[in-house]
Order: sequence, then structure tokens, then C-alpha cells
Amino acid sequence: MARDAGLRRISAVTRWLTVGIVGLSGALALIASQAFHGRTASNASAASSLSAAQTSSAASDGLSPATVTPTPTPAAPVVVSGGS
Amino acid sequence: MNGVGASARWRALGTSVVVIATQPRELTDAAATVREVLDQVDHACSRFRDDSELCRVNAAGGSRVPVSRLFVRATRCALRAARLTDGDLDPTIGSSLRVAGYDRDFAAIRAGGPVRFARAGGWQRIELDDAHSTVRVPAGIELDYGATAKALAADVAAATAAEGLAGGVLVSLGGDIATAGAAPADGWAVRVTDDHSSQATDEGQTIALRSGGLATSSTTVRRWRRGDSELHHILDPHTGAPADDCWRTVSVAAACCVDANIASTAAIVRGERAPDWLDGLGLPARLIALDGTVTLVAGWPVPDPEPS
Repeated sequence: MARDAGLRRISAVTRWLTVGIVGLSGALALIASQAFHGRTASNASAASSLSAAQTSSAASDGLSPATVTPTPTPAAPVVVSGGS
Repeated sequence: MNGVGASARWRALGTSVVVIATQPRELTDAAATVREVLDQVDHACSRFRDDSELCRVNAAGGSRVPVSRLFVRATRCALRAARLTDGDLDPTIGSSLRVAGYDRDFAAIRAGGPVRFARAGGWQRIELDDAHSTVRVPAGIELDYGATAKALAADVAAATAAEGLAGGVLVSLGGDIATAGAAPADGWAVRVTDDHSSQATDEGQTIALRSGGLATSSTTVRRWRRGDSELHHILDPHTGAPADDCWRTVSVAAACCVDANIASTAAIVRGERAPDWLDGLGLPARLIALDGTVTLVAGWPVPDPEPS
């Protein structure tokens, strides 16, 4: 009886160890995949070819204001900005 | 030159060019650099010369075309404009312009037959391979970088010209203005009005620009007749027809000429939605309605009373 109980405990410990190792491996793989970006297996041309739609999601830059806002001036203009 | 340096003026890219250097002795070098940049941009992006890269891409029948780094940059710029305006600017507007009659240098346009409109081909269909410097558009789609290439040329020309100079440089291409280097102590005095060929005393407002760029888009210029219709050159890519006449002129100040020009042209297309859009972006702008009513947003300076 004691021997059977011991074997069951060993079996249970082994199962939990297996589950734990598999889970830990998965977590490490996930962390590694996010830490080290790699290239896809597709050819270089396809990988580097960006359609406009792909490009659109790659950058988030918007239209930027000038660092100094224009001000009124009594000075005579040096140039004209108008439709052309 | 009102104490701000020296200037040179000539014509290129179908419009007028003004280069001002705060240090007069640096004008010659600055102007030579600007000429070189404009020549490169013309060779890359012109819709009116058969040997341009843009025309080669348009004529490639859907094949991938090797292009210069400058053309890659111009394409990226045009795609960014389309993305940031939800397609209110669209570099595939080329066939729409041709169908509407703007199919040659503007000076050569003559009144034609009945007007037709065709919406833009769709900027999402442009394939840019940045790494290998190639561009492909499906057969039948025609690129036109008119909404961004001139402003990009101004930015590149000003920045390149100012490299290694002690003073600052202003480049104006048809009224689209880029600055680089140290501005004059009181800023660059710019007259903002409907038409860049106006006199400095014509109706408008004079502002001091101390950094970045300034662009003005207007439906009062580049107008032509087709059949019974009078058209202007700012087309709504979603319809292919000239944008509704809500604003006759929009001027925008931004960090660079490209951003200013994207915003001013898109504002014409957006019509009534434009002031809120510009205000949300924090871009100082001056919008003139058809009746002359002025709307100022995002800190555009309120004009001082001008001497009568």
C-alpha cells in the first residue's frame, strides 16, 4: 500500500513538473520572440516591399506646428505667399 | 531687401522661385544649391516631361520601376500626405487631372470639350519598395505629386542651401515657403494673400515667420474652362471634381513647408470641417471664405491695423 501511494505521488509530481516545464518553455519562447525581431522566411524582396497600406500603419507621425508661431509685423514684406 | 539680406528670383517647376539669404555674400552659393535641387526634383517628379521618373512609372503598365532615392522620398511624402488627410490628398489623382483637362503645363491649357470627372485611383494601391528603390502602380493609375513635390522641393532646397552657411535661407516656390538656418532678428516678413504673384500692397496680411514653413492654397488661381464649367486645380480625390468652393484661400504655418502645404490643400478639400481639423492639429491657419470673411485658427496672429 505504501509503495503504491509513493508511486502515485511520484507520478503526480512528474505530471506537474512536465506541465510546469512546458509552460515555462512557452513563456520563455514568447519573451524571446518579442525581444529579438527576426526576418521571415520569405524572400527579401517580398519582405521589404511595403504597400501603401502597410506603410500607413508603420509610422504615426502627424502634421507638426512650427516651433515659433508667426506674429504680426509692421515690416515691409520680403516675399508673398499665395496660391500658385 | 529691407535689411534682411539679398535675394535671387527666377522661374522653375512652372512657377516663380525666390531665394533670400540673410548674409548677402552667401546668396550666390545658396541660389546655386537651390537651382540644383529644383532641377533634380523636376527630373524626378514632373508630370509634364516625358523623361521624368514619375512619367516612367505612369507609363510602365503595372511593372515595377527602379527609381532614385529622391523619387522614393517624394513617394513617401505623397503617401504620408494621403494617410494624414484620409485621402483628401491622393497622389493617384493624375488621371483625374488629365480627364478634367489639366493635362499639360498650365500655361498651355486651352478650353476643351465637355467636362468629365474621374475619382483618384487610390493611394493604397501604390507599391513602394524603399529598400530596393522601386515603385509600382497598377496599369491605368497615374501618379501626380503636385500636392507635395513643390513643398518638398522647398524644404530640401532650403535645408541643403543653409548647410555650412553662417546665415539663414528662405526659399519660396510659388508662395510655398521653407526656411532654414538663423532667421532675421525680426523674422521673415511674409505677405499672405490670394495669389503669390500679387503685389505686397494687395489685400492680405503681413506676418513674421521665424521658423518652419508656410504654404497657401487657393482656388483663385489656375482656373480654366471646360464646356460650360469653370474649373480649378484643387480636385477632391474622392470625386475627381474640383473641391467645393467653401474657402477661396487657406494659409497654414507649420514645422516645414510640406506639412504646411498638406494642411492648406486638404483644408480646401475639407471645406467647412477644415477650421476644427486645423485647430485640433494646432496648426496656425488663415482661411478666407468666398465672400472674403477671414477665419483665424490655432494662434494665427490677429492682424494689426494697417496704415491707410
